[in-house]
Amino acid sequence: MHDLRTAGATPPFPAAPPPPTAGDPAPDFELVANGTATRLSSLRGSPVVLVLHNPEWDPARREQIDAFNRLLASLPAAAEQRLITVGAAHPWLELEFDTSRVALPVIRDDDGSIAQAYGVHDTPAVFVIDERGIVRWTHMGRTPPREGDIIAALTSFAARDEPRSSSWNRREFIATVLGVAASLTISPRLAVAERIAAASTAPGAARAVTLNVNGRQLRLTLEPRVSLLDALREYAGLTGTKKGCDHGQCGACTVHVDGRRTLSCLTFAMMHEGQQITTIEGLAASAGTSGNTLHPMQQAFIKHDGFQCGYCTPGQIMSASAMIHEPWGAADSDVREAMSGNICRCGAYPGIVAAIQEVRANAADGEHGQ
Amino acid sequence: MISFDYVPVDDLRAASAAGAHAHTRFIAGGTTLVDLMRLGVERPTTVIDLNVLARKDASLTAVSDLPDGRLRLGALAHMSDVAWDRRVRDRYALVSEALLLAASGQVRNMATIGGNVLQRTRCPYFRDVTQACNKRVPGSGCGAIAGRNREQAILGTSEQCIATHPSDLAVALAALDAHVHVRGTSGERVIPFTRLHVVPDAHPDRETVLRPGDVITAIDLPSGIPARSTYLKVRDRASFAFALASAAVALDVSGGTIRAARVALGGVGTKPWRSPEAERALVGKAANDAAFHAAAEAALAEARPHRDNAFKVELAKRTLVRALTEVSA
Amino acid sequence: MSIDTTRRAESVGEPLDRVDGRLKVTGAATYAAEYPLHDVAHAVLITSSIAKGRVRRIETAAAERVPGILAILTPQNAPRLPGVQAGNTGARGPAARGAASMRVPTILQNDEVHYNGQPIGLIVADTLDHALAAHDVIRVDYAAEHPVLDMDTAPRNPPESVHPLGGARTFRLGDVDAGLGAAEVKVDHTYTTPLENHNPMEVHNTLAAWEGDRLTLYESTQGIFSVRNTVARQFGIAPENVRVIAHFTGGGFGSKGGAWSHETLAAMAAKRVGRPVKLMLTRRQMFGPTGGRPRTVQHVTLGAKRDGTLTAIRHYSTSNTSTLEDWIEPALSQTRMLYASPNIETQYDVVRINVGSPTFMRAPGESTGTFALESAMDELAYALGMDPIQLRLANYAEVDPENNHPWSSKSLRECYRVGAEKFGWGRRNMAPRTMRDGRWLVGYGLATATYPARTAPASTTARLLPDGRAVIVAGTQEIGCGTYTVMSQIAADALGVPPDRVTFELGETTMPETPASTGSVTAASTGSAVYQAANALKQKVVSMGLRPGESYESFIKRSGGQPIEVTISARPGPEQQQYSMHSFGAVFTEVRVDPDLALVRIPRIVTAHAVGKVLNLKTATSQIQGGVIWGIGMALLEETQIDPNNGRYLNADLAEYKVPVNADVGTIDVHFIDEHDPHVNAIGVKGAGEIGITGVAASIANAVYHATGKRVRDLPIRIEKIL
Ligand SMILES: Cc1cc2nc3c(=O)[nH]c(=O)nc-3n(C[C@H](O)[C@H](O)[C@H](O)COP(=O)(O)OP(=O)(O)OC[C@H]3O[C@@H](n4cnc5c(N)ncnc54)[C@H](O)[C@@H]3O)c2cc1C
Ligand code: SF4
Ligand code: FES
Ligand code: FES
Repeated sequence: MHDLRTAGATPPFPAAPPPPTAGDPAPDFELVANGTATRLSSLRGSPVVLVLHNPEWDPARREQIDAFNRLLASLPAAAEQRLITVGAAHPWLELEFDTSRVALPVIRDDDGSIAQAYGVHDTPAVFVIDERGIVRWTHMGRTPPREGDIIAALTSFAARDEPRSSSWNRREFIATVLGVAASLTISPRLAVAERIAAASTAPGAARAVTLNVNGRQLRLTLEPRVSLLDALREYAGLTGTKKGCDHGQCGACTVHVDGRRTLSCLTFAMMHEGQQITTIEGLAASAGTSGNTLHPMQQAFIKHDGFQCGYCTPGQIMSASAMIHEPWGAADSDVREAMSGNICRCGAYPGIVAAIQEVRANAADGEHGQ
Repeated sequence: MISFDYVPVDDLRAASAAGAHAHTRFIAGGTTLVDLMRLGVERPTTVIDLNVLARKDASLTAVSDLPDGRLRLGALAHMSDVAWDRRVRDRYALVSEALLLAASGQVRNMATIGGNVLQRTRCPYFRDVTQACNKRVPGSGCGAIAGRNREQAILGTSEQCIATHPSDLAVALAALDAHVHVRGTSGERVIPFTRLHVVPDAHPDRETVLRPGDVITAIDLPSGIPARSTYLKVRDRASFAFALASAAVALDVSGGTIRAARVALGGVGTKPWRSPEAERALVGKAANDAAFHAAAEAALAEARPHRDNAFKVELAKRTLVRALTEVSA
Repeated sequence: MSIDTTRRAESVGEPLDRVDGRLKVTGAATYAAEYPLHDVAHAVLITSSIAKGRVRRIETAAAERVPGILAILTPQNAPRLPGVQAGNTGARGPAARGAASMRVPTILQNDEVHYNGQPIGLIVADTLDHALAAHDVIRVDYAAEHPVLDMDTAPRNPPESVHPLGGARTFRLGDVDAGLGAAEVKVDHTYTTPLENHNPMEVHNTLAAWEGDRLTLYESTQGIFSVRNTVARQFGIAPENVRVIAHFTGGGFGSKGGAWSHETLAAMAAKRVGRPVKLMLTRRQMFGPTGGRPRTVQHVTLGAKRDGTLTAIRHYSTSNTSTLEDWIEPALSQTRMLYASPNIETQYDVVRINVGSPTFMRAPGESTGTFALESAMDELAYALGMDPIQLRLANYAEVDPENNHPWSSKSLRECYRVGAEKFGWGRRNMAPRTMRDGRWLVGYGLATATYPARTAPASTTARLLPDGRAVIVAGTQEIGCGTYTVMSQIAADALGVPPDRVTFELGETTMPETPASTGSVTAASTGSAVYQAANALKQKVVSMGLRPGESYESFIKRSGGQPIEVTISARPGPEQQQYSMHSFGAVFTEVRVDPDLALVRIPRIVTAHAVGKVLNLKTATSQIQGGVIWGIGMALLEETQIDPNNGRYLNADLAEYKVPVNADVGTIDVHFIDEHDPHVNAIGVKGAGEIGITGVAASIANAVYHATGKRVRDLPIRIEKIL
């Protein structure tokens, strides 16, 4: 068994979070092997199939390779390939195929904190996570999933409906399979409490932080000096929130914290446990729109061309969608003043003002109509 | 940014005790502290988060009427909440205006008024650790005196430092004779706002009379302030910029004569610049241009410009005259 | 040639919403370093704190003790790049001129320091915070020398070369001295514009990953091929082995036209640590290492007859450059072609000082040059007592004075007329300080806008998919101009399908090559290639037997179900040599000036531009508005300040380098003159990216003069200059 273990203390939870479902960000966790730390979020770029199973089911062991083999064979890139050897490369187990390699780390989740983060208690579970760290498909229960389901899950997001779609072609598409040997039967919370006691001695050390982002509990392992902005972009994979200055001077990093527009670059992530954080990725849902529907402010920005390069845009929209609930006057000049903390170097200000005024007018109409 | 220990506190006494240690900083909104830590200017090894405390003790974030007519602002109240408060807008227009003309909507949502008055100068040499700066590193020299100094102060300067105090709110509070409630390791005290900040003299690293561990808990606005007050801010951009010159004024005019006057200037002083000279020049005079100009001359009589900021003398005078004209109109 | 509209209504010209709008408003558009790669390491740049000298030693011991540090590159230990000539000091001289080797100190190939803030090292760590923590304890030992910082006292030199944008160093038409001798009225003034920085909202950033000897760079750039070529040359590998990817770029404005140092450093580091490396500059590091606009000192002399006809124009421009290379602000181009004067003389000089290398910045040359020329024309109008529009019409150039070529199209008269009418120029009382609104002094100002219409070679692949949808592929960039959108529109019209049946792909060097998105060439060049490729595709399908009225989908189905593809290369035609090709416009500004506090506000600007075909009214309007807002910044706010003693960039952030915020901008009323240009290129497009800023600063300065009677010849027009 490889010397891989989870690191980072975990605070006790009032209640275990429910398992993430499709569309949710995958809870992050840290893996440490011989002093080299990495974390789930660092695997971004290739999809991850995360398998949580009891420790006795150790996919890295010879007698269990067949089980994993089946799973791997279900990946599009490896469809006709067989697992032939298990290497000992550090820190991953390199699984060699005829033409490629797949990294297969097996992590021991001794204190159950990973299982806890994934809301898994006593049954094995499989999570298919896309290359951006979003859960796309889950399976729970004692019966193993059908391979075809995993293929379908993986291919469903391989072809993405974006202008660049055909550049992410299937040939480059290799999934990482991550086996978590979790102790699913012991009470995770007990172990967690012990770990906190042990970890709290190191000042400035990374610890587990739970952030409520877009309605989901995100578990990240962070040092105190990590800004909310970097936590979102670099640790949670939510790159919609932009960094334009890192000093509060441009507004590109604007998010909502408990509904108020806030600069995520000028605050530490740790200060926001227990608060509701909304980013551009979750704005539409926060307004109660469903499916593919945009927030009215997003629609208005498109209609009035309130952007060019788009880099300031998430910050503008987050700022605008909160500003309309602040007690500003009705004039264009009020909007301009209220939005002056959001710099747009492309100079899309006229469109931005028009977009906001339209949303405000529609909202006012809506109220009068009631 | 250096590594630090993050300590949330939910008890004032504990906060004060913990804050008394060396290399320790409180964090409220963080809009000054995080900014300066990222620049390497502030290097605390312990950061004490006052926000948990603020969530627990509502008085720290509240705006409340005191029985004697004063208005108490909790030190951890956000700039935006104070600015939009009906009582503040009605009775202390200059405070509301000073807040709304400062920073941006987002910064005002995060920043607290206690943090605001303790923000550090925007002098670019202070904010760049590769530069000489007596305020940051005593004895290292003053980059601004030798270099570019368009934005620096003309009042209260010393051979050591000519940095402006950047807060708008503080200028309004100085004009009002506000009081600052402080909780320190040895109990509570009240400091007149005009005595909170000190001019640089030989020790520009010392900016206030606060002692290690002191937590600002509230700021009281006095009663009996003339109803007509304003804060006028002149800056390079139309918004989201620090003052080149600003004036906080409150006038009580009856029968054409000025009965009482409060005057403070911003953007030009090394501390929020209350001007008793200007007030003396106004009280008892007819509220007209001549009196306003005389007040402006008096306020700037001691001004000592440097290479690039001579214009601030004239600009500050005109800003003050305009503010006085507006409140007496 | 015009676009075939026989099949359906044109989409070109329509104010179509951006096709990438949804991605941009949801945060799903992915910018350079945001690509999710496996096992990314984070890099932080070390920059110099002296302006001139050498790096003796970088003390890294303390930094290496920070957990997670993977490598620290310094001039001492950085790999020597095979493509950079050994021993090349980066100093001036013919040996330094190769683009890949000019800035060798900035890629750690030697220990020289040429400006304060120059890259001198790189830290790589497992997390950004660890890299920053290590950066905090780096100590550098320098052998410092006295820098040259004051452009006004440093020696002026003839430049070694002038970029083709700027023309020859010296241009002479007729005899300017004789022309001035014959003049009845003269104006003779010096105009200055300051150092400026582009400050796109997305800082320069890169994500570099090696696979064997193949390098992939996810890069924030306006020129994927230009970055590819430079980096390949430096590493001594074939260009095909460098793949540059930029699907979205968060603004560039010229600063991202080619490689600087961060791409190379990230690639070096990625090789060293055997992992992908992400390097995101800080905002401060955008001052120096990624270019800016140089300061210009422009001397303009105009001579005219009483009736306003110009007898002579002399315009000399001196701009600063760095000590690394000569880069000249091409501020004189418009002076050679804008007015019909028999005698014109222009000349460039350069001053080498210890600052970062200047580069192209939105309308390089025309933005600064029109400030001087169009301010001088306003001064001449006042000297003559003549309406500024009349003066310009009196000198209207019917052919290009520089070379006597006819214009491919020119609608400047229309621009003046339409602009004046929409603005209400007729209400203007010429005398300064005569118009008021309450306390505010009101001023009306005018200036001419112009920018060359360039077309460069470009290639495109057009592919028809079995479902009848089309995919158009060209290695261009989306920097905010609406490339995804307008290219989809062009192709849709050529194919005769609605734009939503077309997908346009861009931003990878594995795609057909197109020029960098600079100098307003993209719409014209890549647009022409897209148009030709889509046409060629349609013709191919027709020749394969497409029946009239038959849909592509049904044709493909019955002819075997295979995709059909063509790739074409478009090159500019011989017209380029036969015609002068320029966009023109007129900018009308209303300012309000507070007479006591010297506050300048700009409630409205009206523009009228003739830019050939407008591909998308919505995005073109945005382009012009953006350019105008840049002009507002240039006129009133922007100036990069350096310390006079040590050359440190003092206002290297977005609080003190002031770009306009929302409250600085009033209404900007944009008008386009309907213009059909049969010569400029296949689609009749002259480009709208840069012209929007030209003339704006002069228009504002002229309005400020009209309001106050104060002529400000030194930008920006700050409070102290009109107090
Ligand atoms: C881009 C930008 C533009 C700005 N423009 C303006 C402007 O135009 N005008 C203006 O006035 N301000 C401006 N500011 C400054 C801003 O208002 C201050 O940063 C803010 O008010 C500080 O409050 P805070 O709560 O965020 O303080 P923090 O950053 O949390 O704290 C600041 C300092 O005060 C100490 N502190 C905080 N609270 C207490 C307390 N209760 N007791 C004791 N010590 C305490 C901290 O230890 C720290 O040293 C600007 C800021 C930014 C980033
Ligand atoms: S003015 Fe003060 S803050 Fe600025 S450099 Fe001098 S000493 Fe430092
Ligand atoms: S990145 Fe936070 S304000 Fe600019
Ligand atoms: S859209 Fe480019 S900065 Fe605003």
